Amino acid sequence: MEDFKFLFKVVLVGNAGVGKTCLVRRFTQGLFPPGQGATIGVDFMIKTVEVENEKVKLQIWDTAGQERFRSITQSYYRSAHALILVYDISCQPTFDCLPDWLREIEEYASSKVLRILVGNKIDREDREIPTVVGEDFAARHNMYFLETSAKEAENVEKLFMKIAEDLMQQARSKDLPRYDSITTNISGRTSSISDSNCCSKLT
Amino acid sequence: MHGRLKVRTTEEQQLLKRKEQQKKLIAYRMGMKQILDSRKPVNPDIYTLWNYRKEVALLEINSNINIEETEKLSNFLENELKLTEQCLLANPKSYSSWHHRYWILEHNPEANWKKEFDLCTKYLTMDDRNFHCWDFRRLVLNKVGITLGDEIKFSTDRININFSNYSSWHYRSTLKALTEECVEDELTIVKSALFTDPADSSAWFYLRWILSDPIVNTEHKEDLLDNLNQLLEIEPDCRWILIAKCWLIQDLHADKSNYVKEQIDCYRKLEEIDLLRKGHYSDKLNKLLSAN
Amino acid sequence: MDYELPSEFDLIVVGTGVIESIVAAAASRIGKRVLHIDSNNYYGGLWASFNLDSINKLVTENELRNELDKKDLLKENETLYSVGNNAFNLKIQSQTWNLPEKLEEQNEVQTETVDAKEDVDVKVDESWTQEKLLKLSRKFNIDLTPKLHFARGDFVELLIASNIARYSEFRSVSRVLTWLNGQLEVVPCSRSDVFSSNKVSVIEKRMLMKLLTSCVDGDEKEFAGYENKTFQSYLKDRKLTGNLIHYVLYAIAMSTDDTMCLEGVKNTKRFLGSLGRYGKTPFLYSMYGSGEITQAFCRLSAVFGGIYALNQPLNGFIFNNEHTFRGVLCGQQRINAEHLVMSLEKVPQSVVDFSAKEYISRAIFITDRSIMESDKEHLTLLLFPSINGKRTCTILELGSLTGTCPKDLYIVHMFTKQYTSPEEDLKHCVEKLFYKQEESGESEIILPNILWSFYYSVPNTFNLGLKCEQLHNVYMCSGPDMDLDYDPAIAQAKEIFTSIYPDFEFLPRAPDPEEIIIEGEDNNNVLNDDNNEVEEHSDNRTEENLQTQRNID
Repeated sequence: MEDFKFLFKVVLVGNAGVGKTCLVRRFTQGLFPPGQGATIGVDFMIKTVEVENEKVKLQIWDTAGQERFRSITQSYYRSAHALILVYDISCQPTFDCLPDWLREIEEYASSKVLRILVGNKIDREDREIPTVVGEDFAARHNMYFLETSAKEAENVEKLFMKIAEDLMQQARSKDLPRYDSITTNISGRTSSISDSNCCSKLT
Repeated sequence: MHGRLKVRTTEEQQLLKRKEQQKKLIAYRMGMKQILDSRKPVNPDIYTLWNYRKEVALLEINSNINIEETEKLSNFLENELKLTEQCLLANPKSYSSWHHRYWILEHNPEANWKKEFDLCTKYLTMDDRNFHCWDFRRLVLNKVGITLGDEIKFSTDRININFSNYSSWHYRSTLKALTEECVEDELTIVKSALFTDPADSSAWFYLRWILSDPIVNTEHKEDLLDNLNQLLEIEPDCRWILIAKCWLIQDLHADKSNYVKEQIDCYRKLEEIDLLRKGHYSDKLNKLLSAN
Repeated sequence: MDYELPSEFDLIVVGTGVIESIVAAAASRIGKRVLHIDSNNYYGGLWASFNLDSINKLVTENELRNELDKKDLLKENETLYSVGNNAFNLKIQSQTWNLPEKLEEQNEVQTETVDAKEDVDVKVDESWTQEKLLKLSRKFNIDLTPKLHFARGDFVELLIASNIARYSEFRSVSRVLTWLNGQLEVVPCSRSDVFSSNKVSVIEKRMLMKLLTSCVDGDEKEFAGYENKTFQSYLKDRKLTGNLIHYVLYAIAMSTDDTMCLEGVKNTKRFLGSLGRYGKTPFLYSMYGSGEITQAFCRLSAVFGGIYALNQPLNGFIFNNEHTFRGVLCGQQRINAEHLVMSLEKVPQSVVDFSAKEYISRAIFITDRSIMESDKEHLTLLLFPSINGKRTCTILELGSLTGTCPKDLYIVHMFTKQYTSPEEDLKHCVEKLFYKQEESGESEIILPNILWSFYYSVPNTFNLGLKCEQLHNVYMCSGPDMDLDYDPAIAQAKEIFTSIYPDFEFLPRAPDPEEIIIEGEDNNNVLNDDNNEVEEHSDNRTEENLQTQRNID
């Protein structure tokens, strides 16, 4: 048995270059990777945090570059508990694309998924999207809103901790999309499924 | 391009693992200390500690029994239940923990037996081989208003999922005495198991229990003997069939000479195929031969 | 998109069907630079899953392109080939609503349907309308090529071995049915099924168990003398009763009266060998539809650097005078690569000198209740045996728990080898499952209503022996086949991969995130006792690491 009580899948979306990977790496590794270039072979990053004395494991999934040509697989959104939609506050087009992303989220993600809008790169001098515009957009679409800087480590910890806390609360009130109750894990080991109504995940 | 992905070598992984283990060890020791400090039993099988807890619980119960503060008492009892939960997670087959749980529930005037019963159902669905839980269920059963029919159905469901299970057959045998109406059904279900897998011993024991009941009449037994002969034709080398056949013949026709011969044949065959118990069969044979 | 595609690759894969996606994943996995494109705006091609709205608008014709005005992007000795052909398309026979469009117009529409259809007495639950179903469109994931997976089959083992399993979830099929003596019967397939079945006598239980055991454990001796006999004759010689022969032959062995003995034994083994791993039956179904499977492989490819572009029509394939593949024309851009892997329907018209010899008749229905109602929702495989000269049909019923349709509805997939037309080939199954029969008029069973139906056929291109003789470094992937699982698809993908990269392992296990060292996170750091302190310095080192990393590249 692993020593955590909750495991949540968090996925990031948003245009290429808005800093999704940097946010993940700042949070999970505490560093800011200079230069571009996706990390080959890394599917998701894991970080265990503590909320109310309980260990919560966050599994944070990145787009693997598939957002560049709008080719994110639908399965990427499946069974996500939280979804972070990121734009670059110094780049208007990344903000203009948000409605497109929302449509995709609506289509493939669970309706109960926790959604967070993040304006990244607040360390930049050349801001194009005022905070209030982001706030307004988030409010209209019923999302939690935060501005961050992966470079300066601003609000990054806060972002993920907020997600962990909210998901914990949902889990406690049983309001979470309950993926586990209907799926099976496929693994090399033989699992004995009695008369479960369950489905499996092959791991 | 090749080798872009760096993966830890086995050595590094081992080193990491060792470090992880060390970390865990420290965490474990810290935890142990905390547990010992709060005088919770580390080993759930030290019954002296459980008895001590029961004495404390009795004090708590008696001092609160006439006071309005029922909440305090129920919190206390709830904590005791949680403790047994933790212990059962660590060792699901701890006699003392199961007993303590039942004892606490019995001493709680507001015990939620229904919840307890549902927990049993859930647990047994995950692991139907823990006889502690089956026993516990039997105790709890008397406290909740579950109809016998529902419980028989639960038992049938468990057996349908896995009939190679002594516990669930045994539980079934404790549910009710056999009646005229149900004896046929019970014979059918046990025969299904015997024919599906005659090499599986669990159902043979259930058969033996059924046969021990006087309600099973000669006709039933004759039928069964016929069935066993059919089964033996398909599976001539299965010792359980031969043994059961001997039970039945002994019971039905102990002194008829042609049946005695049949019994002798069975034991001779058993001597051949079940070397481990050869002495036992020889003994039976000698008794048969000397008596006739 | 503002981004431009890189212009040099090792491999270009065109089309995102299952075979193409497996090859793309395998190539990326060993570090090859892969471009994977599809002219559709969805993954999967003929293997895709659609919501209700999109499947109603499904386009089956390929847009053929050959933009000769881009000739300036070619070199002297190069020729441009057009992209795509229409020889292997899916053919829609009919798409029908059995529902009023809206509630208000109900009366009008109903009279219309009465005129059009002879089944006047089919009463549809009044609460459903086309409008209502289309509002739930996104809750549907309707497979063009539904698949089941043997729990110990090649597919499941590949998913586990390559660590791709982490991308998908599965549900086990909860019952296997057959059509026996004019009604649906549950096939006892596992030991506990045999035990609890009240349809077989105790003697039959023993006979069946004994036979199944000897099929699994039996050596050559067991089947000696049956090399040229049918499986049916073997079963008869084993003195099995008629019902048992039916269960074993038509359901467990998925065979027919003509199946040879050893083939039947092999099928039986395949079935029984997958029992007891993940559920009550040997089969799994991919949550949210079989279309998820291609996406899982594409995700792996992307994680290992594969570049993905949907909605990206090509303008031509470039070949040199020796007919060796050089690259593709994509919009205004020339993209070079060494090898080309493509779906059959992308093959240049001029090269297609073969055609499909065989078609698969398929049908999809949305129904309002299960074909065999029960106290809980089932995921059902029905193996409909050959009757009255009709071929055997495979039928799959999916409920809302599979994530492929809304609550209270079911999706039923049917397919068989095409003989005349989908509607004609499947008619007998549809009648038996959905329409009341005259002779059993008094029976109380309420049959499901078909709310929507979709009949189509797809070419079975599997045994065409696809080899491109005239073009070099080009590999073609066939479309959907008749197999219940992906075994033939995996075999073909592996074959293509091995002929391009003979010295590389096919989809070795992808490391778990915990096992990967990312630049900046040096071994020493990880092994150092105090992580926080180390991270302070690590930023400096990152630059260096990245540099070395690039040099290696």
